[in-house]
Amino acid sequence: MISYIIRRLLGIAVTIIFLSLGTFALSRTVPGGPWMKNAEIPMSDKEVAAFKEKYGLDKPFFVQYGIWFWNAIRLDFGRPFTAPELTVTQLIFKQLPYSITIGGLAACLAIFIGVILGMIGAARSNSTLDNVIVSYSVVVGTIPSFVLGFLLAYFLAAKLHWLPAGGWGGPRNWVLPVIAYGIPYTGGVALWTRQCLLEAMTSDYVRTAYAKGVKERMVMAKHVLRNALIPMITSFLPMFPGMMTGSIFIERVFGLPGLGQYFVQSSSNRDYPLVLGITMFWAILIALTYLLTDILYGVIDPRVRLTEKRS
Amino acid sequence: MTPLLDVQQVEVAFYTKDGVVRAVNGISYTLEKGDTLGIVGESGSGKSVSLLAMLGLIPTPPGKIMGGKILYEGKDLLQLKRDQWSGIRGKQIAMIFQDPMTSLNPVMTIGNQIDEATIVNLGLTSKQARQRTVEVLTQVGIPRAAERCNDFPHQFSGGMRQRVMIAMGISCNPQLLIADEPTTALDVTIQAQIIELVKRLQKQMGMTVIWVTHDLGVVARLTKKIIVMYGGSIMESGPIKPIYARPKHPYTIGLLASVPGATINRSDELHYIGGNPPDMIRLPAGCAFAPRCAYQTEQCLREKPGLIEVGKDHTAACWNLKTVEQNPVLAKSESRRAAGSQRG
Repeated sequence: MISYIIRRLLGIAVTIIFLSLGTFALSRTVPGGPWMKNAEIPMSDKEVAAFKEKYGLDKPFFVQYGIWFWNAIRLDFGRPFTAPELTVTQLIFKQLPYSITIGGLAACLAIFIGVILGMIGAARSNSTLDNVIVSYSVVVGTIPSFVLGFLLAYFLAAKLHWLPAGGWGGPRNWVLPVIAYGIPYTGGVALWTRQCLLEAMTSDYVRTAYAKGVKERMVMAKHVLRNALIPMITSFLPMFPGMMTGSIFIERVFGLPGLGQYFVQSSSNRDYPLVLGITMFWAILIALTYLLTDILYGVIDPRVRLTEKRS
Repeated sequence: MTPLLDVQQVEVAFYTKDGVVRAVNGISYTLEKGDTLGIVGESGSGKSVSLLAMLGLIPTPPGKIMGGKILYEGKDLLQLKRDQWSGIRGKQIAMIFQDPMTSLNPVMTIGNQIDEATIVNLGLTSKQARQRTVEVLTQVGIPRAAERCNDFPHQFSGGMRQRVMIAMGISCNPQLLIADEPTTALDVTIQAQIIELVKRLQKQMGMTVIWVTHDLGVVARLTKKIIVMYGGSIMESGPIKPIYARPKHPYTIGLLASVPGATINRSDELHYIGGNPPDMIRLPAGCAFAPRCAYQTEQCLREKPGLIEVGKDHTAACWNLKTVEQNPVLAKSESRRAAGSQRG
C-alpha cells in the first residue's frame, strides 16, 4: 500500500511538472502582457523594457521557467503583478477559506440531496415519482448557478427579506450562495446515484441473494449499496476540489470573497505568477483527491485491493 | 401421493417497449420427490423463466405471471406475496445460476455469502454458520475450505465458483435444487466434474433436481425424465430413453440430429434446424415450431397442438405424429430445405 502511494505521488509530481511547463508556455504565448493592463495609457517602450527586466521577462524562455521552477519547489510562487503586497501563496491561502466554506458546503448539499433523490428514484423506478425526479435532474442541471443565484437573491433577499443577499457575514449569508451553487449539481448526482443503484439491483448477485432467502432490506443494505457505492465514490469525491476552488459567478452574484475571481482575473490580466500559482494549487488538489478516491476504492472493492498486493 | 411439484398451465409474459414477449405459454408438468427432471431447449425457449417464476424472481414489471399454478407440496407459489417467501427461497428450493462469474457478490467473501444463507434460513449463529459453510465447501470439493472462506469470488476459477454456488445452494438442505444451465459457462472437463458432483450430492441428500440446459449430452448423463421446450411451450416430454431412441416430435428429432458426435467425419456437414427461433413477441397462432417444420400443415399454423400421449409417460405436442412416425428422416434431412425455401 505504501509503495503504491509513493508510486502514485511520483506520478502526480511528473504530471504537475508537465502541467506547469504547459501552463508556463501557454501563458506567455498569449498575446499581450502584464504591461498592457491599461490600454488607454500605454506604457512607453522604455517602461515596458524596465518592467520586463524587473520581473525577468526579458530572459530566454527556459531560463525563466528554470527560475520559476527552482522557486516553486521551495513553494515560492512569487508575488502577483496586480497585488504585489502579498505573495501568491499568501493570497491563495487568504482566499481559500471562503471558497472552501461555500464550495464544500455546496458540494455536501448537492451530494446529500442528489443521493436521496437518486435512491428514491431507484427504489420506485419507472413510477411517476421517479419520472419527476429524472425530469427535475435534467432541468436543474441546465440552470446556470448565476441565474439561480439572481433569482434567489431577488426573491428571498430583495423581496421577502428572509436572508441577506450577499456579503461575507455569518452562516446566514452563506445560505443563498450555497443553494445557488449546490442545486444545479444535485441533478447529476441524483441521476448517477439512481443509475448505480439500478445497475446493482438488477445484477445477478442480487438475484442470487434473493434466491437464497435474504429479505429485501438486507439485500439492499448488504449487496446493493456496497456495490453501488464504488462508482458513486469515484464520481462524487472529485466534485470537492472542483467546487472548493470557487466559482466566479457565485462570488460576483453574492459579493463574496474567494479564489474563483482571482483565477479568472489573473489570466485576463496576464498575471503570470498568479495564473501559475493557482493552476498548480488546483492541480495538486485534484490529483490528491483522485489519489484519495483510488485508495478508498481499494478499501471498498477487494478486486482492486488484491491486484495491487500482487503486483 | 401428491407430487412434490405440480406445475399447471403457467404463463409468463414480459411487457417491453416493442410489445408483449410471451416467454412461457401454458406449461404443465409434475415432479415426484427424489426425481431428476431435465428441461431442454434453445435460448429464449422459456426454460429459465419458468423456473425463475418458481422462486418469485421474475422482475415485475416488466414481467407478469399471466396465469397458472405452481403447487409446491400443495401450496401455490405463484400466489405468494413479497414477504411470504421466507422459509421457501433457499431453504426448501435452492437455485444455481448460469453464470458463476456474475452470480456471486464481488465485494463479499464467499464465506460470508454462504453463511448468509444458513443464518437467514436456519437461524444459525455466525459461528455455527461458518462451521456449516466449511462443511459444505468441503463437500463440493473445495480444498482448504476453512482458509478459502476468506477469499473473494474473483480469487476462484469459474469451475470453483460454480462449486461455491452449489455449496451455497445445498447449505440449507433444500428439498428441491434448480440448476439453471450451471455448466454452460464452463470448460467441458469442468462441466463433467460439476455434473458428477450434483449427481453425488443428490444421492447423498435425497434432493429433487431440475436441471435446465440446452446441452442434450448433459441431460442424458443426469436425468431420467426430460421436457423439451420451444417457443415457451412443451414440445415433448417423457422418460429419457425412449425420447433419445425414438423421438416423436419433429423439433426433438431435429435437435437430436444436431448434436455433433465426438468423432466427426470432416466431409459430413453438421446438421442444423433451418430458420430462426421464433420472435417471442409475434408468436405464430398455431404451433410455435410450425414455420421451421418440414411436416407443417395448414392446421399447424392455425391451431396450437396439445400434448398427446405417445407412450408410457411420454407425450408430444404435434398434429402430424403419424406422418412423422412414417417418415422420420424428413425431419432431419428436409427441415433445412423447407426452411430455406420459405425464406427464399
